[in-house]
Amino acid sequence: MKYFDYFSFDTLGETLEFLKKQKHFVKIISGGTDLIIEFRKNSPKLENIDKVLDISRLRVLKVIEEDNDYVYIGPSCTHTEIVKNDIINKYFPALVEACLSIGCLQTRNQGTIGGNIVNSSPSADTVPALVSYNAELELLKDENIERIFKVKDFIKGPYKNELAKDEMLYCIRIPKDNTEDRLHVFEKLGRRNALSITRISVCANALLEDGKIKKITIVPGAVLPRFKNMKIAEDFLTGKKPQKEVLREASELVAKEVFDEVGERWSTPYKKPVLEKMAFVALCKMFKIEII
Amino acid sequence: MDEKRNIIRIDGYEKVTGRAKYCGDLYFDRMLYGKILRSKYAHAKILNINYEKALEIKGVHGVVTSWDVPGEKTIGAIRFDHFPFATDKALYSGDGIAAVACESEEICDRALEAINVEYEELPAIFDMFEAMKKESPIIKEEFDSNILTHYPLRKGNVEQGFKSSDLILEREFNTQFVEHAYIETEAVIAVPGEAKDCYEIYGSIQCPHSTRKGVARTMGVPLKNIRIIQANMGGAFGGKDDSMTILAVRACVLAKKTNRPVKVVYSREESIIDTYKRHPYNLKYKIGVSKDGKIQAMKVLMYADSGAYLSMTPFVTWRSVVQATGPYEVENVETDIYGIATNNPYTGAFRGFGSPQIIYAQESLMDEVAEKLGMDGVELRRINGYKQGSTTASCQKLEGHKVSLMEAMDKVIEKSDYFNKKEEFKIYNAKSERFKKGIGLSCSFRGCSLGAEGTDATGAIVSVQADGSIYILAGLAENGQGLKTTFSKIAADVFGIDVSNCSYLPQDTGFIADGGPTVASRSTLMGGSAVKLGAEIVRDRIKDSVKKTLEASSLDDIVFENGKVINIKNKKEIEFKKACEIAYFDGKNITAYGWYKAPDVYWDEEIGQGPAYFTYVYGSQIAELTVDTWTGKIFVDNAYAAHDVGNAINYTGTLGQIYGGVVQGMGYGLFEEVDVQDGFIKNTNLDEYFIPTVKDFGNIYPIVIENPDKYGPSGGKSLGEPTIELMSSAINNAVSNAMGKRFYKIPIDLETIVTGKQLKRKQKRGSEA
Repeated sequence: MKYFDYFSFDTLGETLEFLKKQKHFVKIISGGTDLIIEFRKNSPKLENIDKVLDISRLRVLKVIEEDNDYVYIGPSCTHTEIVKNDIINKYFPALVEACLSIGCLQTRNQGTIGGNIVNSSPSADTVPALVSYNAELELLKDENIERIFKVKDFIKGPYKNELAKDEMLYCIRIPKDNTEDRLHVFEKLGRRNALSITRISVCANALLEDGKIKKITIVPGAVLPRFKNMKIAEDFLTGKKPQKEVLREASELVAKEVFDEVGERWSTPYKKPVLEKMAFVALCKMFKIEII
Repeated sequence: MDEKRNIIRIDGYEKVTGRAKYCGDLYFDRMLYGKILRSKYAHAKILNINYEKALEIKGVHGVVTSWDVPGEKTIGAIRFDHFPFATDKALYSGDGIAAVACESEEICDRALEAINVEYEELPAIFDMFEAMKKESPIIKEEFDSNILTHYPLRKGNVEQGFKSSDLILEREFNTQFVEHAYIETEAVIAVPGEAKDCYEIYGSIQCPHSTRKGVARTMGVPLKNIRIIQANMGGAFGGKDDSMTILAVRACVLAKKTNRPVKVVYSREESIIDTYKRHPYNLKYKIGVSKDGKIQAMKVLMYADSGAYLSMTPFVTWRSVVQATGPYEVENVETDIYGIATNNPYTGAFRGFGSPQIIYAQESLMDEVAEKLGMDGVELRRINGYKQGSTTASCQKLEGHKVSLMEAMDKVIEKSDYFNKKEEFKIYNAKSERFKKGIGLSCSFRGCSLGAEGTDATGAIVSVQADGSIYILAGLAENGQGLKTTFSKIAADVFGIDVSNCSYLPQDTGFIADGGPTVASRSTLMGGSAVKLGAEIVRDRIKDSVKKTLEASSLDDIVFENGKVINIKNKKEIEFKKACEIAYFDGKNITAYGWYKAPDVYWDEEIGQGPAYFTYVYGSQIAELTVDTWTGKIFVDNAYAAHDVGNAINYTGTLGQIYGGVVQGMGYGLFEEVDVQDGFIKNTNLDEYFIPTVKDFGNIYPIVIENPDKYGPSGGKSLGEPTIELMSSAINNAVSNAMGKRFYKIPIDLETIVTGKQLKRKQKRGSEA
């Protein structure tokens, strides 16, 4: 067990003020479903960390709302809150599926979307969905100084991200373009059906026009050090009719693009063929093509 | 279901409402917290332990090492080879080097960090076959080699048997380390007694009397000085036996040093690192059969990884030898099993106790033999399976009880619609590219209780109060399996009253005789019989007192039914309560000790022959599953389990045992493996050690078969372990049925299905990428 000092403030202003004064990195905690485990096992990731700042009491970070361009999600929203939210269900069903696949009910009641992003695990479940929806993050330094990152750019590698030591994640915003007609899918594989870290996931959404794919994004999870769109497969599919053989070919491209990047590892003989199949299953599901 | 048998668990109220205190919930005045420092190496000489700095920390009250153990340094159920505190050497990564007693667990952490241990790392052996090589160093000095045990079994002439065979098949199987994963981790509080050199130990202890022996031995005091009081238990599955003796000794040494109560509760990580696992086996089977499917000979060679200590390895491997050829008549048998010392985590008792490994192998093998002969596995099993009067591999004639193997198979086949499903799945699989469905069966026989392992006797106190309510206390312990309810039901039935009239007293070695360990699925059979005998003694005394009131001419005319005591001749009756009151004022002792000693058994260790157990149970399970061949994921859609329990005294409990055992068996076959790398366990918590969740299986259909056994209370016998031993082979056979190829290692994980083998991993939490 690693021991730490605990801080919590009533207002956002005080919270940012506190952050500003710190010489070293402070761990920001909201749900704690990842962080407490790291503290409990005195993880090397926590070297030089001796302070924890709890933001879970700040109501401003728990809001979900929309305007004409964006849906805004407070980082302290729990997975359960997202699953139950009408706006998210309407526009971003793949994010709902991703949240539903996390841990177990208790984890989902406690864990937050902001935590899932900032923890920046390669197997974070909400991240492929957020990347596929082109989500952006608002980072707050002062109450006025704000940096904005795309989620895919924010995460730099396993457990590494752009967050500065005097900064906190303030808001996740997702553009609403074409949301009405989009098709969505989130497909996940774990060793168990609950309480299981993702082995492979595939998240995608697409827009059809005259039976042809007008726009498509495909983002795999738990296979790359950082999250990204499968550009090659997306370009290949754009303008084509979503037929089984076309999707099969696109799935091969997904697997190829991923494993060209990561190279051969202990798990590659398994993960490569399975990623291909998972991508195929996800795409077929999205375009409502039956496979048995 | 028979409603009357759907009884409410007598310790259900306190457990459901949270009123039940587990050891971790208990507090004593001036209590300290203890924590263990474990070895840095899998094999090392301990040169020096310096803990002066730890003692300087505020709140640290004591540090102990092997030097502080006042009596013998070792414990052991079979041989005294296990050091609660490593003395000179650490033999595995979980070995305790020192322990601290402090005012809080936080201070314990700091104290442990302040202890400086100088080691000299020694060459370690993690592979059984490496350990058996002549040139390998001997891990345990008190043994002549790393082969700790060897049990042979010889029957007939295998060479001749193979000669007269039309088909000979040789197959090698491997099984894994498995963790018990009880919901409550190990916990103990040692409290110095008022009298000199006396200690009370509270704990999550499966076998209180066994633990008492170990504590008394190491504390250098007579048994009477140690009282073990069992707290409510959050499961054991065989895993809280000698491991808890080790912990109790550690806590007791700390309590002696500080002269204060000391509580030690293992974290999940400590629980997984410190305590024993299920033995991994390497099994080589050679089988010869004639064209018509009659088994001619079987040769079985098995190796069990005992890890750094002997623990229960002799008994575990002995059961494997007795049952290695399965419930089949084989004229010619040659079986050998070796228990091997390594520097891996040690292995010991775990529900099944040497049977899940062999049944996985032998039942998988039976299906493959049948396939080669062009028949269904069921047919092969029917030809060779035990029937009434069959003879076992150790030449024991199966008689005096109902040999119900065929009945179990028939019932499970009927319930699952096995043969029709096979046809259906053939059609489905031909069409399906991704999903393949399969169905598989396995069956077993199992010797009840300890058998020729050793003395098999146990006792119980039945104490009737003047108002007709009853106290019960038995020498065997409630570990979550429902013993209190079953024992209460047995007593209540003798008195013709409802089970709610019974209360079960706290388990305390000071109040009840040593009735052997709570193991081997022996509680209902042995302890239940003792309860019944005790209750009958009291019943007869009550009869004697009420004879006059009921105007009975013979005691045989008096019966106890529906809360009444009745003279069946003249129909005169009184309330049971009233009868107790009469007996009480009559000055009768309405408390009695029931004692039950098992019938004699025998085993010739030289040739492995003899009547190993006095009775047996039979069972058969079927797994019906879907394999996602694209991802390797297997889902058991339906599991069917038929078990002969003799008499389902506690029907609800019976179903519970079946559900739990079947799911634990699924975990064994599909998910669970303690990942030991160079002697260190990599998956030390339940996020990485995968036990099945409720979302990981479909329906379970229990089939309860009741052929009363003459030795059991009202005919009841064993169920706990038979339920876990069959599922892995049923699954393996179902996967073969689905995919048309066979696997020889468990667990059958995702990688096995997709790539044909398990892939070695060095995984970190949060990412398997």
